[in-house]
Amino acid sequence: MQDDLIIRHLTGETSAEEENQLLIWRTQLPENERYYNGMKEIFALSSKHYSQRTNEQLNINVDEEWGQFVKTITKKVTPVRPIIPESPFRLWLKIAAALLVVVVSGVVINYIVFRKTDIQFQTADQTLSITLPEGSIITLNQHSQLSYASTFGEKNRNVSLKGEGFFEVKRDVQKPFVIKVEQGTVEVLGTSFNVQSYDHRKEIEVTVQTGSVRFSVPETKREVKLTAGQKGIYSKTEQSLIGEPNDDLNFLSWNTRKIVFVESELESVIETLNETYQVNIVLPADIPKTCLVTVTFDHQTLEAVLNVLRTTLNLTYTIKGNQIEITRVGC
Amino acid sequence: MAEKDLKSFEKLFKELFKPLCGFSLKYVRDLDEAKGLVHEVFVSVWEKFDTLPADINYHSYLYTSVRNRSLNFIRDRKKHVQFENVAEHELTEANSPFETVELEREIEMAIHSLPEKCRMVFELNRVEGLTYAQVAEKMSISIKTVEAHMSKALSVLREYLKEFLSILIFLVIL
Repeated sequence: MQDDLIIRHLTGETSAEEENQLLIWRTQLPENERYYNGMKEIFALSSKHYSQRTNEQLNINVDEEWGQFVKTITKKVTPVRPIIPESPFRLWLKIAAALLVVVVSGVVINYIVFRKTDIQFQTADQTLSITLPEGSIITLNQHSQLSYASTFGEKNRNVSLKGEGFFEVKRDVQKPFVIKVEQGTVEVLGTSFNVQSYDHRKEIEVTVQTGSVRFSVPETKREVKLTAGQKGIYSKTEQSLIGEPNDDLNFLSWNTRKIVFVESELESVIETLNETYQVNIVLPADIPKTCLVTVTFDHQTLEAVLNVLRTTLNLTYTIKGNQIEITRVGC
Repeated sequence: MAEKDLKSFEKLFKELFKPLCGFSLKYVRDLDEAKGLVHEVFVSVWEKFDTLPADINYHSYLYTSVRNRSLNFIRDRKKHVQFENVAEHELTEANSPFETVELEREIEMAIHSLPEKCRMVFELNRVEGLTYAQVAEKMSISIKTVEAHMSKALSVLREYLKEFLSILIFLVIL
């Protein structure tokens, strides 16, 4: 590897000839350049952030601390535990105490659970619009669930979401709006965005329409800040959290019933329709998936949409139970 | 325990107590808590002092222990005040979009997990600003060896900071 050379260059130890050699290497392949940039970044970071000098500002008297340490270790004597055979009476007492603990904690848990999350909304095959006490509006997609404590809005604005919801949050700097999903947390001040976190999905997605959102996954100690037009994707399998520009025009179709396709490939069109209408359209492997579709639907029924696709793409399909299978595409 | 052991332990304690507090502080953000945790670590190391291998890398061992204890401490604290630390997050974010503290402590951890000679070379070059030749002279080693230590240091850093690197690259794309 070129590590030695790169590091010599970064520490200013290279000769003119070596500089040249490095330059040639960097231009040979894009990944060489990337590698070089990574090293440069690491090097700059480690020099910038690593300094022992900051410790000097700490208000610590090392001699005093050492004195305290010596006191601790000399005082510390291993306690000797007397071995007394356990009497049957003591055993019963222990069992009684254990039972008492179980009963009491059951009552306490009940109390906490039922006091804290006593408002819950659950959707089946319909969407639902909910206005929260402080004025924020949440639209729940099908098969989703939203819950919050009866104390919502008093000290904080915390809700839990399963499934998908579109949030239009009222601004309140004092009380950030916090949404807990399966593994992550979305925190906002006032803004609108979409959260998708279905149990059966491998990814949790947060797409921002206006304002900014912080999306964090405490388990992995990751977080991204997202602004309008961006989306954050957390992969449950890879435990990775990334933010990227949102290129999906239809992330709100399930709510707005407006679908826009601009030179979209058939495969992604089908995917969008499946999500928007919660249906199961299947594209068999032998059907070309790259036909391009450009069309806008506004509050159309699935039937109408399929009709349009049938005539424009010269496509046929059959309905088997709750599955729609594309049988031919003529583009 | 033998008197001479306490003497060598004192040296270790006085060298690392303050830096370790600074390191722990980057997790727990409270100096008294940090000091307490570092004390605990030293006490537990002292108890094992005569059973630890002679060639153990104390820097690495102590930093790892302090890091683990600090993480446990935060985890336990989080259980108690689950939502209050949202505000704490807010504070750090004001400075930079991605927590600088988090980055700083990773770098510190990486550097202290290096073999001792390697860490000394790196610190002399990076912190003290000595050239390869000066480092070589000071440590009575060859320039080639200095170079090898620097390479090693950077590759360990790269390993530790890989995740930050990808985040930083993502920032550039934005």
